[in-house]
Amino acid sequence: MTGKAGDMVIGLGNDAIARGAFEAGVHFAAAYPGTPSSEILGNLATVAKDTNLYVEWSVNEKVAFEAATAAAWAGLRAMASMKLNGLFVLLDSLINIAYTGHGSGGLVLVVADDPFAHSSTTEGDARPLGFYSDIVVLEPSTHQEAKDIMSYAFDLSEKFGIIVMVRETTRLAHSRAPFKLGKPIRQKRTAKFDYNLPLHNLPRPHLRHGLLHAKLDKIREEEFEQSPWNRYDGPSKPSLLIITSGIAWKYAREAVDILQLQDVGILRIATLAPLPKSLILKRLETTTDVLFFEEVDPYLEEQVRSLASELSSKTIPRFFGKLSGHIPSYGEIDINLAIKAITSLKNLKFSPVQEEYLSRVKDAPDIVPRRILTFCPGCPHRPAYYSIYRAIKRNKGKGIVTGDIGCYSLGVFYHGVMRNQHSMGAGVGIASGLGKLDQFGLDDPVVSVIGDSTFYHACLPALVNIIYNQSKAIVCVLDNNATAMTGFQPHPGTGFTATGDVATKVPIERVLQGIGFQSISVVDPFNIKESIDTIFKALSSADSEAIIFRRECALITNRQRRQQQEPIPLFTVDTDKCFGEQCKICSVEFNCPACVWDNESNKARIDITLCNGCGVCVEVCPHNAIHAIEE
Amino acid sequence: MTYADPFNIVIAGVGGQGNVLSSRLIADAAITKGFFAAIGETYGAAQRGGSVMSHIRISKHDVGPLIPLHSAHLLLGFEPIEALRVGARYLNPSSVAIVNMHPVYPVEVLSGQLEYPPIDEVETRLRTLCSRLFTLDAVELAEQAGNPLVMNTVMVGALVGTDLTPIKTPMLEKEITKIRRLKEVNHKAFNLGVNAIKTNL
Repeated sequence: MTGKAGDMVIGLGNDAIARGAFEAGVHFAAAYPGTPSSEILGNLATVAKDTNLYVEWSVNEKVAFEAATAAAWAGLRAMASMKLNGLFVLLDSLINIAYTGHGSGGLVLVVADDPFAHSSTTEGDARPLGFYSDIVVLEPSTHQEAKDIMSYAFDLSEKFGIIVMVRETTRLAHSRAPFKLGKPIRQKRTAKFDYNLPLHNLPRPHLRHGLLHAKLDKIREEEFEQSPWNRYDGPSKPSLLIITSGIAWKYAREAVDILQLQDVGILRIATLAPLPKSLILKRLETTTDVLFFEEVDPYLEEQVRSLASELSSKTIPRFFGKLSGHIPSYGEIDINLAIKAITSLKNLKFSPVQEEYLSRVKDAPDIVPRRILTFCPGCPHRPAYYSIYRAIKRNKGKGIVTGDIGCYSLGVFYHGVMRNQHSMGAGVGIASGLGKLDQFGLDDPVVSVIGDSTFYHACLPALVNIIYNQSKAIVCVLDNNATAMTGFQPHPGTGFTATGDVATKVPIERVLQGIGFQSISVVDPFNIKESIDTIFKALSSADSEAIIFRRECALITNRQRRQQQEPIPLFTVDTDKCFGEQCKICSVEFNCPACVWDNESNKARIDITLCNGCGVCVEVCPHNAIHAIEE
Repeated sequence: MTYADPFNIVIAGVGGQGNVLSSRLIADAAITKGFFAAIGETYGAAQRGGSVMSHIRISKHDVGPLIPLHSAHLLLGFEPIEALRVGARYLNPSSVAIVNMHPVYPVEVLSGQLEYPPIDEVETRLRTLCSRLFTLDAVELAEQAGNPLVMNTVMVGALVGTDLTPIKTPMLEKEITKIRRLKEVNHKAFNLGVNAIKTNL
């Protein structure tokens, strides 16, 4: 972030986007953390204080975008960054603000899609949503472009008074490559409120809709038809034209290189909405076969197919891609898929290795055991789930646990305790519904598990709904004092802001109290007995109850220990007391990675290289076989 | 000596073993020498004991972050079964693998629910995947250097020790000396890695 103009640096696509926004002179940046987008705001936060830049971790993406809109309304350059799911959260505001305009400032939305759902629960594509929302969509293909496109995005937003979305995907966001730094324009601007510029669509929203479409047509004509951001490489009459966007362009280019094809052309579109129609039509007329190669949805494919109806029937080429089955309609694309599609269309044969080698090594990894994801040793979520699991067992198996998004989502793997996992806050809404089904004969108790950051993000309306509609649920907030999954960003409960300043805490228990929860318990999940008893009691309670499991994330505790050079407490198993094979509660049921099974002695053993010294296993062991080692 | 362009290195390991840092060191050294270098990896599973793979590509051109199947010139295996898992997808009959044979057991192996395959069998299978396999106990060498955590630095040393990559030992050594944490230990670990391979060549 702090390098000099002309420096060549290596960084993530997200680093490049953050630097690009900084060079563009962004004044106001807001975000909610979400993989693969979090580093963008994290980076901007590191330079904010010295550069009159305001950054915040907002409670959710909708608020982040609305706050950024306010800054643009006052004439500043503002941005909001998020993962795709965040765009889903703010869609209503986005479509409204696209109609009203946002004043004279620049308003840029950065959205990171996650093909293959590496760190998400669904795949999805921001491009058609941008198109649907009548905003501009740009997509860079390289790290250099990711940086450079930010300045263009702000300029365009201010020139036409339009919201500009910059879309990236995981392989750009989280890959590293070199890019050259430019000179930041740190333009000083004073925020001014223009009282003559109301932002609403009344009395006739549909007229605003029409004006917005006219504006997009103007951008198409004046900017995108001749935009240097779009490029074509290849012969003037290619036998096959590949149309692509984003990082997929690099895959397509490499595939053509590997196959040494001179007669294939590649049209890379970076201005994805509004599409440069004439540019595309002109290219379609030069070929008979078109292959679409793009991440997630067949956005370009559907748009261009529809556009082709403007061609005379003789010149309409054949189209291949996700819709024709030449590219899979789900998952992530890569060079291999590009090679496969091209060779199949051109009747070529290609394999990087001999068939004989492939068949020889095919079964080589069949002895490799899987690695399931699990809570870290010392994680407070494990004892919290263990207690829920035990309490439900004690309740004769009755208790439906709804889940949510965060590290604690791994509860779906923990004896299947967590029964559902959808969007942020969805577990509470579902719990609210489940709690109203007694009149139809379902009266099993409902336990809703949510995290602390999720609590503020999207749980509040559903919590109010539980109280207002007299539903019945036990709300368990697993409060580890961090947005741990995405890299320990602060939230309203931590007492810190994005730039490390002290903030007013919004305590979870006071919010719950205000909503109307009568019984709110705060327990330490490391205290297993109290945790199980509290949940078990709540399972048979007539009212909705809230239980806050409060214990800091083990990774934060570890970091602090390292800094203060404090040793990790050591624990050991007394093999005389260990019940061995017939018990296995510590290693299999409690399932801590540090409670390992010693095949030779057939007893439990604590692996001190893995153990984080939480000591919960001491209480978990029913035979008092685990104890601390006194130094 | 001329090198393939792009030169493809794949690192296979487990979250927490230092893949990210290692791939950065290699890429930084390449960039200092005027190459373009790209690193492809996914996070998310990194802190939760999952499999982690990094792709490093060194080229004169602006290449993408992912190595095509069976196109790695070199595999750096931080863990035996991870090397086998990834090697079966990315190695080819002419590639070279350097593997730390010190296992990191999956959770279900630790709890006695699954079995870790015999290490000799893993080695035999790895041999069928490539032209040459170097094995070492990089954790032991890291302990010799002063801390088992610098296993990754031993492996990075082993990588350049082969003299098969476009990056030479002194270039990478310079990057190693920039590490602030465990400075001396890392430097020592690097040299132990270089020598472990040199004596094996």
